[in-house]
Amino acid sequence: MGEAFSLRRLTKRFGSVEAVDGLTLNVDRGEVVALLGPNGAGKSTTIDMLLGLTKPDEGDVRVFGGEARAAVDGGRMAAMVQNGFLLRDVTPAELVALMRSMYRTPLPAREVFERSGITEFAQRRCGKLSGGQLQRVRYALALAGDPELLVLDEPTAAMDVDGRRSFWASMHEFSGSGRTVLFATHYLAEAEDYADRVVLMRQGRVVADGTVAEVRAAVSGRVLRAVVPGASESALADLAGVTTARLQGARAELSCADSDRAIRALLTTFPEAGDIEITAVGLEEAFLALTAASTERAGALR
Amino acid sequence: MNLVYLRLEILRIVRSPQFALFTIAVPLGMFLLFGGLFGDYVGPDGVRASTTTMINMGAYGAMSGALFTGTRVATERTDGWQRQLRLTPMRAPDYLFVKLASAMAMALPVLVVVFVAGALRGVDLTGGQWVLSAVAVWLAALPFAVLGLLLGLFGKGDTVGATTGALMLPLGVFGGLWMPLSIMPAWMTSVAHFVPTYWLGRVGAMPVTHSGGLGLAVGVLATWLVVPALVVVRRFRLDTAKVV
Repeated sequence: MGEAFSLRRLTKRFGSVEAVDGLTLNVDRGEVVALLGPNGAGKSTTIDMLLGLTKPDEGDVRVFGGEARAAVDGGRMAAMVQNGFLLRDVTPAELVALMRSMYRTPLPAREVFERSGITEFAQRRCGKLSGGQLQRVRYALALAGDPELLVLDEPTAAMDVDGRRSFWASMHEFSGSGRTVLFATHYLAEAEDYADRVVLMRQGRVVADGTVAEVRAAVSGRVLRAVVPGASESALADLAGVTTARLQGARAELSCADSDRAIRALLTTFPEAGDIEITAVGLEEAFLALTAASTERAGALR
Repeated sequence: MNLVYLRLEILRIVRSPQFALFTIAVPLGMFLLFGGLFGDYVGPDGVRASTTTMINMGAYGAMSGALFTGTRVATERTDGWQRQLRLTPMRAPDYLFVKLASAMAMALPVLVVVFVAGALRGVDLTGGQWVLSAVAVWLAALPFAVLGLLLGLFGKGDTVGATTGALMLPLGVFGGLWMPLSIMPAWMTSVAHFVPTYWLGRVGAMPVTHSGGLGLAVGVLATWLVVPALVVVRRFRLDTAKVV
């Protein structure tokens, strides 16, 4: 298929905070990729660097083998950013006409209206539209140049349920013609339902990358809970099959990549362990756990 | 230049006419007042005061219309419109040219209104003088369009309007647009020769007074055009390199 874009060891700091920390990501043409993560995971900063709006402190960005700027100028990459500002005193139709005037081979205006679902309010001033409608206008502007790569940052924010459904239907149509889409979201369901590939981010890094099934396997696993007298957190974390361990008093909570090995190791090392319980964790829970972990970490820094 | 964008910009001005009306009201009111009070006096250059006042107020209006672009640019910067444009193939020069052209468009209506008022109040010029004077003032407003851009690229949306207003008064006074320089102290007359508004009024009066000095006027105005333009270009590059 060939490569749509590649991000190599991208790092971006804001003061002492590493918003993005050595992130590497390659996306092939035709892929629909969800960049999933809690708020503050570095999704928007990553997208800004991909679009050439922000210069990375380290690493490099290639889009269709060239500079990000060249891909934007050539109309090959278009984007919809969060809260992108739209002039209030003009209509969506006028904005679409403006965007179309900048490209050599734009989509016909009518097609832009229909695909983005703005036909019914295309002649109203932007200042009079709802948040969800404005979001659709932003999508229309991104479509106007008929891009090969569409980058969307939290595209369905402010949309209602119907709006979301028709937005994703339109996106599906767009990507069906072999085009590449990268979208950032913190809605797990959107990533599960609409992406071929999920890239899970936390604290500026990719923590999992693969199909929905693969990411689920990588981050979900099982949780083993037990009362383990006399154990230490580090000793528990070192057990075979255990990825992370938390200890509160004698109550241990072990996240396991392989819970079968973990329970054998636990009982061998700590024969007095009792009150054992093993539960499967869904992607949703794993995702929530990651979110919680990042909040905890942030709290500890303060 | 992107004509679709220019057309949209002009439409936007027409759609919120408050400011355009304001830029027209002040010079028009002043012309009617001063022209009515002193209109029949004849100045040292042999020109009736009503003619001079009309040209000066037309010039003042053209200047304020052109400077107004700064407020719009600053507001758009604060709102994030320029960031939105950076996601498109539109380049900095395209944006700046459209803003300049719309500033020049803003300078025109006030000039026409004041001149028409002049004609109605008995200002008597030949056809050629009317056209030459208006065209000269309009072209000489270009440095003010660039100054407006400059203000807009440095200030914030809510402060640029005030800054522009504060700047217009001394520009009007030192340029001799409000009162004839002949009644002012000598040092002010010397200062006036460095102020762009002085030359703005002068080029407007030249077709009427047949006074010379066009070369000098063009030189001073060109300097006021080029120097801010260089700052604008430099600033815009920095501006786009920065995360907003």
